[in-house]
Amino acid sequence: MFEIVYNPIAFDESRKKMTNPRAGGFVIFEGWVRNHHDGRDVLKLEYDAHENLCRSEAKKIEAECFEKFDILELDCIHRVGMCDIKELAVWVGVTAEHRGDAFKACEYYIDNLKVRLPIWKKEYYTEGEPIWVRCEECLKHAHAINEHKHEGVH
Amino acid sequence: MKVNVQYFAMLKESVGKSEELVEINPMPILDFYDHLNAKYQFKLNEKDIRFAVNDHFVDSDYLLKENDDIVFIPPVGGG
Repeated sequence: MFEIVYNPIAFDESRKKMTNPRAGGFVIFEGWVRNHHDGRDVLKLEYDAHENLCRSEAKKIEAECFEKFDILELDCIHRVGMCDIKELAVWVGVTAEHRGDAFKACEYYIDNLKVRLPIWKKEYYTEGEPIWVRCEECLKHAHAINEHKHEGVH
Repeated sequence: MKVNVQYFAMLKESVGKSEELVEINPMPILDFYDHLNAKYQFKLNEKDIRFAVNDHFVDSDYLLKENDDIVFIPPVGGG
């Protein structure tokens, strides 16, 4: 399950969604808005997203998690719009019978979300103009996909 | 033919609007991006861009059709 929200993430409510009685482990990742990046003081962040593409791509990542790992439930909420320092930008929760696969699936999901979902982040600084962040890992991912296609491999 | 283009993030700021209807001849989506890039000066390397049509990612050689809903995906940064 993947959801985009425009207001602060109600993570307590998300936590209550995870109810599988077979679960023995529950791993949560919270992505927070931090007050610095690359040596610059950050005041706030702004996220923009293509919601339909996010939903379809998130569904694929979720399916990959269920295929690769022995997990029971997976839920994710991503915030868009303006976010203040220390607010939650993203919340990922995974339950499993045992903690190992819950940890692995949670890491796999957030790593892939960051490079695959059409979500963009603008940083506002204490000094200077705000900029849309160019994530180098995300660029590598885009280049890999483009090169993959140019090689004619599908 | 007419196509609809949606703009996000830095592209939206370059264009000054979130979407527009454009009258074009059939062409690959990469050529259409180059056409808009010449007009709006996106300041992005085309190899950094991915393409989506009607809510699905497509290759750069995708041939545009009437009423396609087009999105250019600049470098992402979620999470």
